[in-house]
Amino acid sequence: MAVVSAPCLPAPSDESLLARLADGEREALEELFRRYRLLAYRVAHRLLGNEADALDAVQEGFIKALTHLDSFQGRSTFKTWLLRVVSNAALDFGRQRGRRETLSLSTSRIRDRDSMLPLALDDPAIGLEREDLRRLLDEALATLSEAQRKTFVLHAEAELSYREVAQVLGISIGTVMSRLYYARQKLRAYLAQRIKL
Amino acid sequence: MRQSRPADMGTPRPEELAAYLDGELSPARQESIATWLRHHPEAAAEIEGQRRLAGVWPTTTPAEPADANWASMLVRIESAVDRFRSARGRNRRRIQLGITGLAAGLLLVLLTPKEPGPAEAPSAGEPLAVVSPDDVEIVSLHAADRATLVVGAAPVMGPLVLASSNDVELEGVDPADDGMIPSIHMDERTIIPMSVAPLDPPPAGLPEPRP
Repeated sequence: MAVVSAPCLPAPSDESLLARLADGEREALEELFRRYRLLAYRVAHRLLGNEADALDAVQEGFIKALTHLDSFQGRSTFKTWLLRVVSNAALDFGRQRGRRETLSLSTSRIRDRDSMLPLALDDPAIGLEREDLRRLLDEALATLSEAQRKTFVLHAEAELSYREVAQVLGISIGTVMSRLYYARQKLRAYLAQRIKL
Repeated sequence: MRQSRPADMGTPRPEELAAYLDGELSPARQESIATWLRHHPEAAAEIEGQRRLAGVWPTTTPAEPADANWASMLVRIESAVDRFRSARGRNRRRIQLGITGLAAGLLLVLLTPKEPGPAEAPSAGEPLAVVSPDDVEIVSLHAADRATLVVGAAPVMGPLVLASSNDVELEGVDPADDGMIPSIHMDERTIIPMSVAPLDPPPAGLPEPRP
């Protein structure tokens, strides 16, 4: 008996999903959600530092993006437009809920335990757990200005190109690059006081 | 004239250092910055630290939320989108109704004949002069209609006496062919004055003329 494999259909483009969504097709909304929910969540989590607020920001961002599709004029991709909305929503949540206070409380345990001694990332004897390192990075991110933080997170976490970050933030590519440099410099300086980087 | 020192030539700007770290520069510029960094150990240490930061970053990616979180979030998003669409549909219908009403009103105004402006309109109670009394000649009028006259004057305001009883002596009245001359029964002692255009009821005691 011959086995016939069905041809693999290419995934529908964002544009076609948006057109179907405009016609009221619920499956298109679900597909867009599945496609970008994790990326949006990671960006929001990096900007906010905790899961609950990040989930709220993602939900808010998706709702705003999907109910204001008239504002999306197709000059950028849906992905970059969504990330713009989500990152703005995340920063709004952060302002409302006092991100820095939350972070400083959650990461104080690391400082207390390690007595501010520099730690080597690659030293298993030290045993800096991944979760602790992530919290330390969250705390370092909180020391950045909102503009630097958003620029760095969109580039490092969402892996957007300089041009895409510039589109999301409405700034020049040169500004993206200089913000990246100073953000990295500040993060490295912060971490270098606490771990061997 | 100031000249740059050789060691400062090609000093990269911060944005170039960011692009150098990301490998976004042209090969030539990438190489020139690498050369510059070999002569600037502090800057090289900074770039190396940033490179290690970039290496640490992916190891701290936040864990994905549970499927239940995604499922409940999707339900809330769909619900919000549905509510938004319903509200927008209602608003659109309201706007359409408003525009339709406005257009109908405008059309009504345009199609309605113009009335005289306030300055030309007569004041309340003032009769509207269509014609002057001189333009109308009333030949005959029933007495009951006199009050409805808006212009002109009744031809006879009261009983018109053409002759007194002493002026006329009737020898007899015969009905005319058209029947318009009243048939009055006369005797030798009864003399009834003849009148025309009886706008008012005849004096008491006189018989009603027969049609």
